[in-house]
Amino acid sequence: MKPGTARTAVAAACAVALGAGCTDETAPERARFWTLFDFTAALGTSEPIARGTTTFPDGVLAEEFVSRSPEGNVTANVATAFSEGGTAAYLTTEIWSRYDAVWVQPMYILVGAWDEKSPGANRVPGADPIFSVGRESSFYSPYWQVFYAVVPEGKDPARYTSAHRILDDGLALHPGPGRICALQPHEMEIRRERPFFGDKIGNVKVDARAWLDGEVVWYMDFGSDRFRFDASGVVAESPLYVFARRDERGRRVPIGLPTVGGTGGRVDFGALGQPAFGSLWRAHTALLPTASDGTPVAGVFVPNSLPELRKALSDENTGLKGVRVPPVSAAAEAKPGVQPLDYLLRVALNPACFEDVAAFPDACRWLDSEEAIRTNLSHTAIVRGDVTLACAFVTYGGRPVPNP
Amino acid sequence: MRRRPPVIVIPVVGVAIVLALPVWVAAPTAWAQALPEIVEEESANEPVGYTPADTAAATASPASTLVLTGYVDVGFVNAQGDGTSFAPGDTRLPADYGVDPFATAVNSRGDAASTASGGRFVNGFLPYSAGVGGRPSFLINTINVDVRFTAPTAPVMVFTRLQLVPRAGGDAGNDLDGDGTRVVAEQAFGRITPFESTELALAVGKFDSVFGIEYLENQANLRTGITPSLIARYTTGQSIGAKLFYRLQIAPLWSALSLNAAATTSGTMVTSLQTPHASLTGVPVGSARLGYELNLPRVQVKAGASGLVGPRNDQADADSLQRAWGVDVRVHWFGLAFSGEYLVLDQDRGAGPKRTGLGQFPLPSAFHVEGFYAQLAYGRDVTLGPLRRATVYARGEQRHARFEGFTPVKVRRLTAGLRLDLWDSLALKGEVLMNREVEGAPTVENDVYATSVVWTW
Repeated sequence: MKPGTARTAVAAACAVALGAGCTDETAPERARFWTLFDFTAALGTSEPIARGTTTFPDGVLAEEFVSRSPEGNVTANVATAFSEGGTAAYLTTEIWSRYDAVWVQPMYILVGAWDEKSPGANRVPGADPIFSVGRESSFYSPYWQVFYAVVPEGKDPARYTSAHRILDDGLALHPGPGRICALQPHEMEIRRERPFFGDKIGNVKVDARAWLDGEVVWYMDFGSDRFRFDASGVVAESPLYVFARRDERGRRVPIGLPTVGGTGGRVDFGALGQPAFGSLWRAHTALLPTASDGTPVAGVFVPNSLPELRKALSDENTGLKGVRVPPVSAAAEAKPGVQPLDYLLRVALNPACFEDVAAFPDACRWLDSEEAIRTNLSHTAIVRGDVTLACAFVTYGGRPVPNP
Repeated sequence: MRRRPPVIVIPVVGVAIVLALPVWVAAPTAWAQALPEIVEEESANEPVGYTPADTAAATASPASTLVLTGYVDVGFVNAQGDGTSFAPGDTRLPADYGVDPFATAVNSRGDAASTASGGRFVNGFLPYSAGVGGRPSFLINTINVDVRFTAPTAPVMVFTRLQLVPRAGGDAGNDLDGDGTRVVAEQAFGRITPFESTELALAVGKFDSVFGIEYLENQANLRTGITPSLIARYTTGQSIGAKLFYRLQIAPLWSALSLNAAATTSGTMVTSLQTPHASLTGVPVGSARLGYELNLPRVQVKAGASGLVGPRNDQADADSLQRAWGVDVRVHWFGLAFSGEYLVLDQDRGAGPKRTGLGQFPLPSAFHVEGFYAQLAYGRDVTLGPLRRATVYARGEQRHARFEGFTPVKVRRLTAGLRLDLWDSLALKGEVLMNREVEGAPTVENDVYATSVVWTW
């Protein structure tokens, strides 16, 4: 891992817990959402996002999701997570507070002729997709259902730059798969490697051009078959567990550890192995236990090979609160078959196992899956929150997520 | 009502207007030429008002203080397509944001032939549904009972208007909801007129809107035609609160000035959009109309300006406001009656969830609308067997509306019809509504053919 990467990651990891720049808890007065445009606009303002929600009472700084380089370029950050006991990473592109549901919207891809076996085969050359609902709408979402719109012979495809025009001309429409496309500021980039690990993320198409109500827009394409939705258009959500502690006021506040993605009981993958769950997350806080004297019980694994990170996370003032950073046995790290980075920032309920060569890692009670969290934490420790997030996986199970 | 010779005369100019309005619907710039100067003929065609006036029967004797009246409105309607304005293939959500679900009105209540969205998510921008879909059907539009009590020894009047609305389901966007009859307490108020010499009245209870003029025709027996205009949903709703009416007669000028002001729970929107039955924010909505009347012997001109401001009563945040203003004019001249109204309304984005007369929905989006209608009617009293009066009318209208982030929708409608009044207790009406999606909404077959038989008692 590059030292610079570690510092950035530590800052990002701590941002949630520290709530830098956050002030008073103020409940949001209404349902609202934030997009990549809002994240960008909030950079450097110390104005937290989603403040007053049950999941993030003090909000989250935009720096958690996007970064600005000294040259002024804005980049979407990749966050490390765990899911089903494995490592994963995702990009956060939208956050909703107080939304009970998020809906899929139609997007249109122009084709010259319909081919049922290969819907995209006759795509009109040079024709950009057309989105139907913009981010100014309360009902915008990055979850789209593709409709292949057959351009009649003799019609100029260039006239189709809005959903209204397609519907008004009565183009034949053939439903296709769901697709995640987040509208983005023009020229925004994404971080192409996972923090701490340095491995490559999946092939996310960035700064792609499209149309919306006759205007050019830019979007980030995570590919198709990445989520499910019902007949009324409601996108299926999965639980995302955010480790939390109680602060001095008794509130649940995030610790700043990597989240754990659940499946909601449905492990579902697309044709190329891309996860079809977890693109839309419902945040759940998972309160880590404390001893009777209030000291944390759970510990987070940070290998000895990352001394700077260990020091930063252990710092009494600026480090993690609500979880320990226990010592790790060098012998345990060096066990044959053990890759310490696979366990980096993973939380265990019995962190003494980090020093037990025989026990590590199999006898550790890792909280790295929905089942593990539900089994090992009391049911009162887990609270469903009022925040949903669009966080499409870009790596899963240690591998880049394909982008079909 | 004065009796007129038994001859129905439709002036050439009236025919020209009726013929010209379709051109306006098709061509945005043609409408100005389509409303030529009004000339000729006779008696006023103005409805008597939103509540029955004090009649001789009610005031002649201290014993005659309780008056029971009412009507039954029976319709036969046929809407094109499936009775909605939802276009096949339009999967944008909410389904009711990209079209005008109110366009397929079939009766004076403004009920749409159907609001079934085919399972697509809707967000409460809906009228009540008649539940008839795209099939020709009879229906009981309204069973109405009015009870008025006038105190014999005090300047007090108490009025209630109860209605039964039998429907084959469909009120919440689903035509398979099952059979049911809704009971509507449309009005229930007491009114005090403290000074005999001054036209000043204070009412408390549930009463009609004070905004604009179309609320005067809310009831089927009073409305010239059958269906309300495209902007009626914003101005004609009843609400609960207090209302003040004051009129100053200026006899030397044959004129009068009036002020009608109200503070109510929900403002002036219809119940399907905002419930009047509780203040969801705790802050009342203010509305008022300032009017001027010129009452010459054979010509009447009435003009007014209205305004509304207050929290939108479909959500709980008192800071989420709705604001509206409008102007209206009516001219009665020798049997010709022209009426028109222009409206601009804005609503802030509200705090969810959204709660309307139809139920709870997720999010109250910010909204802007502007629209107008212009109606020309020619009525003539006749004595031809049971026929007492015949009225032909046409109305042109436009509505341009936008939910935040959604494509703005512009629709136009031409409504034309005929009303025959038989004896004093029966009105036969027939009209056609030609709806046109001009911008933003996909073209859909949603014209409506409506007839109405109103039995008044």
